[in-house]
Amino acid sequence: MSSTDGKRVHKMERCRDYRRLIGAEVDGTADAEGRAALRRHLDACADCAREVRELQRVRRLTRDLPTLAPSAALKPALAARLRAQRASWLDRLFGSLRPNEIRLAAGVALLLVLAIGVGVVALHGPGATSGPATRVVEISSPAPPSPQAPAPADEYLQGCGLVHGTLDQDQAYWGADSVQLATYAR
Amino acid sequence: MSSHQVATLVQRARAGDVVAFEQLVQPYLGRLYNYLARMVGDASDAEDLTQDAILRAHRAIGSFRGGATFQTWLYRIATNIAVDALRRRGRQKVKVTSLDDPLQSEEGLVPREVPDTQRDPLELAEAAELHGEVQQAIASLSPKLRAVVLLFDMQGMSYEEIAEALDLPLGTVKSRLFNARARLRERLAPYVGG
Repeated sequence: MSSTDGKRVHKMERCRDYRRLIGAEVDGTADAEGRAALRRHLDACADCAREVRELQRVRRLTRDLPTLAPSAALKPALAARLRAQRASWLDRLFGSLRPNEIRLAAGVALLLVLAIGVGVVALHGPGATSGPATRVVEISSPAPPSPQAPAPADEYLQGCGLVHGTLDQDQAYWGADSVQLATYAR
Repeated sequence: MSSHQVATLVQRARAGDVVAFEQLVQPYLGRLYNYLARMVGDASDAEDLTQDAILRAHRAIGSFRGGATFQTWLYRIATNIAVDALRRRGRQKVKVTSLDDPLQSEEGLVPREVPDTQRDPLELAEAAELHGEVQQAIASLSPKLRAVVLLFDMQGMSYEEIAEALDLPLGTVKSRLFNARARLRERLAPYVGG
């Protein structure tokens, strides 16, 4: 690195140290001590002096942008909507919560749903050994039963301990042409 | 409005008093509109967004804890509304031409800017062109930088108020403001250089 390059790097580092003060000066928030220190630097550094001048002009331009006025219709429209706004129970519940609280509540709700789901699978799944079981019995279209002999499916259901009356017998036999399904508990 | 008056109005608004809520937001309505119009670069969108912000504040008045001032709380909601709107549009560089056009309302076309009848027409035209350039430069900033520079320069908020409104550390507010100005300086070089 040449001595010229070294001086330039040193100057840039020094100028970077004044960034905070330059920002405060442009914003109009620098205190007396900071302003005095910056003034000394600006007297010796034309680049920073130019930067401050241009940033101050930028600030004037943004600050002097005209105020945009809403139409006269805004107030009455807003008043009507405010009165029409009837907070639903969800609004009442969640309106008072912060976004983080809503996310937390949603997470807890999701965990609860998952826990219930896991519990249901554990109780009723293939490996379950206790608790009520549900089976679906497929009944093929039978021949019409004789008045004396019980229908085959009826025998089967009775053998399985089906509580009488949970299956409409006539419907089980004649309600559909192909297949009748009955769900029962044992 | 004193902090005691604000606290009383907030209490009444929480109890469902719409008139109290209107009194609370009334002083900020025009300023919120101006801020949102500059944020999204579209004057008629800004009317809708202003209503959305106020309605959201009304629904959430129960969550206003009083730790922040009502003003900064309102600006936080408005900023979120503006950022959401920009995200929905899928663009961060917003159109700006409509800001100088009259606004179509139920009463016909109304000017958006308060007219300055004291100035020469040529001077006004030049000023309008310059304002358009400045608005375009602002629109070229990311919403994060845009919000900070608008809140400081146009809304006259302090670093502390901006930090509270945007939920940022004080140092971040200062550095964003500096970065925003540095980018605007590049964009507006023909107007600020020399």
